[in-house]
Parts: sequence; structure tokens; C-alpha cells
Amino acid sequence: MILGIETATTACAAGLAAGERRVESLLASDRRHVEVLVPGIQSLLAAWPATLGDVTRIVVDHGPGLFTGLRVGIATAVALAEATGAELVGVTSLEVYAAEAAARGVTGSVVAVVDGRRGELFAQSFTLGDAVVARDIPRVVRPRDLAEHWAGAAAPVTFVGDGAVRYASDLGAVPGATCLEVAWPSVETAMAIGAQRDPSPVHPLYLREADAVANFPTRPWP
Amino acid sequence: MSARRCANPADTVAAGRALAAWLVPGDVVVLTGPLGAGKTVFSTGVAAALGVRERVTSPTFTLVRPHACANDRGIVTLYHADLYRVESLDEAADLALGELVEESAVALIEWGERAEALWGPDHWEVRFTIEDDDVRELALTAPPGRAPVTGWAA
Ligand SMILES: Nc1ncnc2c1ncn2[C@@H]1O[C@H](COP(=O)(O)OP(=O)(O)OP(=O)(O)O)[C@@H](O)[C@H]1O
Ligand SMILES: [Mg+2]
Repeated sequence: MILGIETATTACAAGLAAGERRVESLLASDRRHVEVLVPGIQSLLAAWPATLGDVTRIVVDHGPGLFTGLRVGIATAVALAEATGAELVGVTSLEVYAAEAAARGVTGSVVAVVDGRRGELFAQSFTLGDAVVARDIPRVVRPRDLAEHWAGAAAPVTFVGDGAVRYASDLGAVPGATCLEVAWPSVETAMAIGAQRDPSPVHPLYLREADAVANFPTRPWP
Repeated sequence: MSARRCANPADTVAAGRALAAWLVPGDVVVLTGPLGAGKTVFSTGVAAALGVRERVTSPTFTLVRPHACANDRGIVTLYHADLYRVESLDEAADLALGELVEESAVALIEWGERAEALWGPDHWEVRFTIEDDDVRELALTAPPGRAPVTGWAA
């Protein structure tokens, strides 16, 4: 049985999948990850019915996204994997959004966008056809700059994700653009991706880290 | 950007009060300048204007200290942080200040420029220069796209 954990946005969700059967539950939508995640997993298991011992694989969204959410989701996933011996698999919020767009029949250029806070987006481009193919790596970008880039590209594009909800006015104004408003990355989709992937250690994807780390070596020390 | 001359600590407190008038919930203010430049002194002015009752001291060892505010502007909490002793970016990121302030708080971050990328482009910066024993110059930069601050340098 697969357990899926989603905490990359203000929403907290979890899911279970085994064979053809899958369930997903939105546990809270207002940043109460700490409070609702573990009890939520327990009630999902009880309703199935199953126990933690039945979980053989844990799929966790490791970002990019809401920092305070990700650390709860990832810490919980790592702890449960340690305790149960389940395999641990990470998926990114952005690839889950792209796969969600594909599941809804979108084809062509898709940009997955997660609200990065502080006026920025985490974004990654994909091409959707027979498969979901990443066109670049996840990056931090200003909504205006992303909109300008696609306005210049003059090609149809779909923006998908919570970032497309928050910045619908910037992104939706791009000629030929569609905003697919998906409020949080689907746990079912994450579990489907995670089922196909080799287990590996999972670390939060913060994206801003690479830029910021450069400032530290120059700090004076008393 | 405009610079304001502060001839004594009281002037620097007044500068903090002046900045507080421009702050809205979600604002992050990075305070940049050498040791003893007056970043903490300035913070006491911001805190006073936002209705913080308790004494505001350097949060160097606690890294960040929340202060309850009383004002009619929707700013419920002032987070006062000091990254001087932060050892790594992880530690700074762990404070999640950018997310904490979002709905109803503001943050003042001494030595915040060390983790600039964590705050995103939309933050205030006050750059302190020590002119001589008692004189400080405070250069203010508003978040991009914000209405220009008038009367700062006066
Ligand atoms: N014009 C001035 N404005 C502010 N402080 C002044 C001024 N003139 C003298 N001072 C003195 O400079 C010192 C400023 O100390 P403060 O703790 O505010 O500095 P800081 O920038 O926070 O330093 P640190 O980097 O160590 O946190 C105080 O002792 C204050 O009395
Ligand atoms: Mg200080």
C-alpha cells in the first residue's frame, strides 16, 4: 500500500493507494499542517481499513512550496518510513501539477506554477503529449517576468497550479494563455508518479537556497 | 533611495517611528549596517510606533523574537530577528520569516542581507552608515512598486 503526503501549499492532504483503489483527503486548507497531518493519516488508515504496517511505500511532495508546510510533510514522511521500513519516494509539486494538467486533457506547453510567496513564483515548463516532458529546471521567477516571457513567445500555453490562482490577472492576460486553477497538488497524481519511481532520500526543495548561500562566507565573525 | 541623517540615538528612534507609518502586514524590513550602527535602536522606534509594550532588545541569541502589537493597521505581531549569529542558510530559512509575516505581521531583520534571497524582491531595506561617533546615515529603499516614501530624508 502507498501512502501519499502533500504539504507544499497552504493545503494539507494525504492519500492511500493499493491496487485499483485509491483515496485522497484534504485535511485542512489553512496552514494547519502540524495539527492535521498525522491524525489525518490515522483516520484514512482506519477508514480503509489498514494499519501503518500495511504501508510499503511513502510518496511525499518535497516542494518547491510553502516552507512551513514542507518541513512538516517531509519530517513526517521520513519518520514514518524509518519506523515502518517503508520505501520513501519524493515527487515535486511542479511535476504533480503538470501531470494533473495532462490528466485533465491539456496538451502542448504547460508551465506549472507554485506560489513562492514574497511576490515570486516557483515555475517549471513542460511539454504535454504522450508523456509529460520537463523543458527546464524549477526556478524562482516574478509573475510579471514569466508573463512577459510567454507574451514574447506568442505561443499557446497553460499555467497550472496554485500560483495560477494567485496570479491569474498577470498570467491570464498573456495572449493565448489559459490558467488552470488547481489549488493544491493532487495526492492521487503524486502517488501515481511515485509508484513508478525508485526510492531515494528526500530533501526539501527550497530553490531560494542556491542564491542565498553565497552571502554567508563573507559574514564577519567576532 | 534617500538618506536620513540621525545625529543621536533619539533621531534614530524617530526614524524607526517614521518608517513604521509606511508598513503594512506582510512587510519585511532588512536592516543592514556594521556592528553598533543603530539597527536595534531603530527597531525600538518601529516597535513603539506599532504599539509594542515590552522592551525591545537585541534578539542576537534567540535569533527571532515575536512582539505583540497594538495598532489599527492590522499588524498584530512584530518579528524582530538578528541573523548575525546564524551559522548557515538552513538556520535562516528555518525561521520561515517570509511566511510568518504574510497575513498580519511584519519583520525587522538585522543582518538580513546575508539571506537576501529568502525574502524575495519585495522587501524594505534600511542601510545604516556610521558617519562619526554619534551620527548615522540611514538610506531607505522601499519595495519595488510601492508608492514612493516622502519626507524620509527631511
Ligand atoms: N545616531 C545614533 N543612532 C543610533 N545609535 C547611536 C547613535 N549614536 C550613537 N549610538 C549608539 O550606537 C549604539 C547602537 O547600538 P545598536 O545595538 O542599535 O546597534 P546594532 O546596529 O543593532 O548593532 P548589532 O549589529 O551589534 O546588532 C548604541 O550604543 C547607541 O547608543
Ligand atoms: Mg542589533
